[in-house]
Amino acid sequence: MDVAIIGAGIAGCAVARELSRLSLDVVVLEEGYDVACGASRSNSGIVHGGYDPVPGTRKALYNARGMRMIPGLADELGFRYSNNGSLVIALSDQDLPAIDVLAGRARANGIEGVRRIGADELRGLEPNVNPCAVGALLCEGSGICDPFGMTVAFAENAATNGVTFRMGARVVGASRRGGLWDVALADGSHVEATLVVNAAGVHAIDLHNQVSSDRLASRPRLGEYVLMSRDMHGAFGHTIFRAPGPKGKGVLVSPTADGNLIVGPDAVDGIGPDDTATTPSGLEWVIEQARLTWPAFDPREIIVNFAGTRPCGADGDFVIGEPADAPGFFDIAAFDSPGITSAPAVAVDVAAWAAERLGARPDPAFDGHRDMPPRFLEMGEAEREEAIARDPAFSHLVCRCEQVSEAEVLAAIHAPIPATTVNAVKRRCRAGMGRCQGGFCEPLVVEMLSRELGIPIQDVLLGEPGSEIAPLTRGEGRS
Amino acid sequence: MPTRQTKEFTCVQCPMGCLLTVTLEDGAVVSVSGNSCPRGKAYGRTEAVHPERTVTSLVGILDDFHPLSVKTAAPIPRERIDEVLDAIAQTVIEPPVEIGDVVIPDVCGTGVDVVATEARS
Amino acid sequence: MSAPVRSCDVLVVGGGAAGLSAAAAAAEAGASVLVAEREDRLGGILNQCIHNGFGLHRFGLELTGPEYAARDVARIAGSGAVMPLLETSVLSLDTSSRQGGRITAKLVGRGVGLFDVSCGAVVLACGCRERTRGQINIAGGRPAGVYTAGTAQRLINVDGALVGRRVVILGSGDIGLIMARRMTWEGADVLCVCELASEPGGLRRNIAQCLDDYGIPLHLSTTVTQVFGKVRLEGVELADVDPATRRPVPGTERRVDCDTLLLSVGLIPSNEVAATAGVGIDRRTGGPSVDESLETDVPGIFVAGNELHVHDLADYVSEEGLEAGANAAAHALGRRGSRRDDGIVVECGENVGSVTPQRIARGADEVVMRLRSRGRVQDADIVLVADGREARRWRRRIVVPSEMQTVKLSAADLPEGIGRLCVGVVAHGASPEGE
Repeated sequence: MDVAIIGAGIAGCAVARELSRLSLDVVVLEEGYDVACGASRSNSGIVHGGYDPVPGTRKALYNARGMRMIPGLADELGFRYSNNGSLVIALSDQDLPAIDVLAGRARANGIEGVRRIGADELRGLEPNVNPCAVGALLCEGSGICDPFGMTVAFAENAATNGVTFRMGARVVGASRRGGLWDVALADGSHVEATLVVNAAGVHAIDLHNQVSSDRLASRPRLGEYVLMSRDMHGAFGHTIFRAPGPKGKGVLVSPTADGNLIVGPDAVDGIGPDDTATTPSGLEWVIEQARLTWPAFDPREIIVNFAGTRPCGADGDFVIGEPADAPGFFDIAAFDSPGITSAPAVAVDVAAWAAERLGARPDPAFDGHRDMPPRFLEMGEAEREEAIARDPAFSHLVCRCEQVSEAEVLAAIHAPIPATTVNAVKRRCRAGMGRCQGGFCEPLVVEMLSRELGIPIQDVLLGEPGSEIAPLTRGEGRS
Repeated sequence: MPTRQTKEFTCVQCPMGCLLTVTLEDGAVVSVSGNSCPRGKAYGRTEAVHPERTVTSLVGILDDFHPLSVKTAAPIPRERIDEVLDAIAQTVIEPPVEIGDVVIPDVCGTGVDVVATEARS
Repeated sequence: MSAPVRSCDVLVVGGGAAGLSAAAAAAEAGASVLVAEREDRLGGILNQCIHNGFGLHRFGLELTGPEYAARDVARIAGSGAVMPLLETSVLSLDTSSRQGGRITAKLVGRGVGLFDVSCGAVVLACGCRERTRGQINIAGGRPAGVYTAGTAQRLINVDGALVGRRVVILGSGDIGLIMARRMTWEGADVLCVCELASEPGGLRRNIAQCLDDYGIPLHLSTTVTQVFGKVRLEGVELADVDPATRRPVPGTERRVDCDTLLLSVGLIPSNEVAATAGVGIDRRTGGPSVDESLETDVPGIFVAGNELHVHDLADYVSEEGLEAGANAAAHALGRRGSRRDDGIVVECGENVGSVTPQRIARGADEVVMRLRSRGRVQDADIVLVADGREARRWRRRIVVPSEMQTVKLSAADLPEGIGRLCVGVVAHGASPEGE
């Protein structure tokens, strides 16, 4: 292979898509059974406005570049994005200096459309915000995206343009041998590649430390969230942050690009890289903090809680590029927030370095366009009629809460990056993402996966290997 | 000397859930106490001597992963439930089948048939 | 190309216990009826309830769910006036462009596509959904092995696939209890049933026959605070609950190893279709507010069964379906007299969690009132207070939250000109508080 990309998260998939513009053999190695199994899935889905990173850092640079690329990419690749703007609210006068610091960083980072607003303007924009708020920093450029959908979009477009994705391929090590990189997989097989892109998320620093003597420290940090029902989507238009104060940063409350409302995260240090369990105390804290921003917060509208592990490094900045003692090995490590926002810009740079190193030429057959998979729920009547005429499976609804048709589930199962598990289907087309959380449609999706993949119902997975939904056959329990 | 024995259980005849105490002598009921009504007394008498349950379960259908629901056509002695469930679990039948069709005659020699509770063509 | 507009007197949304009865009653009253059912067969959730205990009240028989459904399916088939539309979903109800008082429904059916139904009345019978892990916010990872009881019931009884071998059940609702026995009968080890409240949630007979028979412990005032395991469930953390605050008591946490957690923590009426018509919802029942004819605040839209409020017994769901169907037919066929909408407001008084109907039209001759208490009262009176004056009381041996109470009143019970009725549950002979 010319390039082996380790990890099919947002960074790996964005790089894969950039490399697919070139005439190269590229493989993506992913330990999970789907893309975006780690931090790329479990995050806030914010396209950050660029006023937060310390000027001069890689985060500042890539955030600013990435946020300007995302609106165009959303159109080109078909993922959900909305330029809803953000507000950093001050709950007391004590919070105001922190807001001024952010405004100063915005200027230094070259971010426009950032200004202080007073309490009245804030209430006009967001009537549900805590009436104690004394003002806010408004950032017009920030937005929200579906980070999972964005990763799938990059991956599918890369796959369509010839990149190979190997799922269930866990990398256990990489070493340089005879001018090539030898990537060892858990199943004992090896992949040889001229270049390696290390986009292994929370494992990226460990992988870096295997190949370089310039050792980095990894400080994975857990973030816990609650997701609210569709009915709460309209409670806020902007993404609401709290000013960082003596009592910490609070949580954000934001509409999501998929039509829900998200609240979180907290920040729990000292966890393992694969630790993604929420805790009773963490959730309690998130809810407590949410009420400071949003006094009318109603926990009965929570539909699911989840946690993600942010791949934080030691010095707070991204690690991007080639270690001096590991030529041809490109890190995208310590890629925590604003990683989603920055990924498109980082991918452009990493792909350019790789192209230069390999002398790669553009692939004339490259087609950068991908259609967003249509959703019955979002179609107008004429569109629905046209869709049903094209494919009668649109006329059978599988998920009642989100009005997901059989056609959408089938399309996900047979997509360029196939959805082979219940979670993969759910994340692509939202079957099971509604109020009943799959109570009704999960068995139907299980039946469809069984039929389409040609496997017994007992073998259908929730997500990861070993997560069979109903592993036993009737009667088997009695024997 | 007759053998005396007492049994306690919750009456299921109404939401009161009276705690019934049934006294038996040589296996025969001599008294029921704790009940609030005559229905409770009758329930206590039966439950103490020969508790019976209707069993509902599933049998296989040839070439169809959807199982077929079945039941015992009458209550069977409670202590035979396991045996009957084993017999039902091992059964695979051929469609078509109508509600009430006998799926296993005289299951485990209980004198009770297992019958289909749904139809399948 | 959309299919041509269809027309009927009564459109029934949902082909489960409530919808089948509503369809039968409407047809028997002379109406033409369409039943829209999402699944590929009629019967709704009854199809997965293979246990017996259905029909005692209606037929004097202990039927299983599929047998009970089959009787109602046969009844509508026999009427000739009911057409079921399978694998068909109602997308919306439009009452804004009413022509001649008719309602337009938008539907989508497999192989048929989008089509409109113009009808004189609608009966909503969409049933209910189960409260999920997310709604009770149990912490932990997201492993396989955590299911609502009904989903696990469907997987085993319809798909023949068993979810696990070592089971903890949270919630002593009837589905949870039934599933405790079902899983035991399938050979699984049901370790315990935990209940947040200090009272069991399900029917007494189910506790005796589904738990006691198999020695399955029921832990009251106990909840699950988190789940363990990343890929597959490995255990749960239980904790005692303070009955006053309903919050876990710190220091009482203990781990139980299991591969399956079933949740039977409440049912919530499904109101998605009702919402499209702007039907008013009662926060207490979670279902639409209705008058004594089971008509919502949108004229011509009726509701029955678990979409109105969650029932304990299918028999009562069917009974309510019959009422709603007959009234919907009368509405559609123009057989109802004019009704004054400044009706009597019905409120929940002492120890009453919810009540239907929420209003009563003046001049109503018979009213069936269904209510659920907040707590257990032995030797109780259900007391009806009209504008501050006691109007009637009914004595009950016991009233518990898990069993819905039904009382019937007639015009004679309702003094002329009253504005407000308040229903309470008190100890026998006592007066309700605040009246």
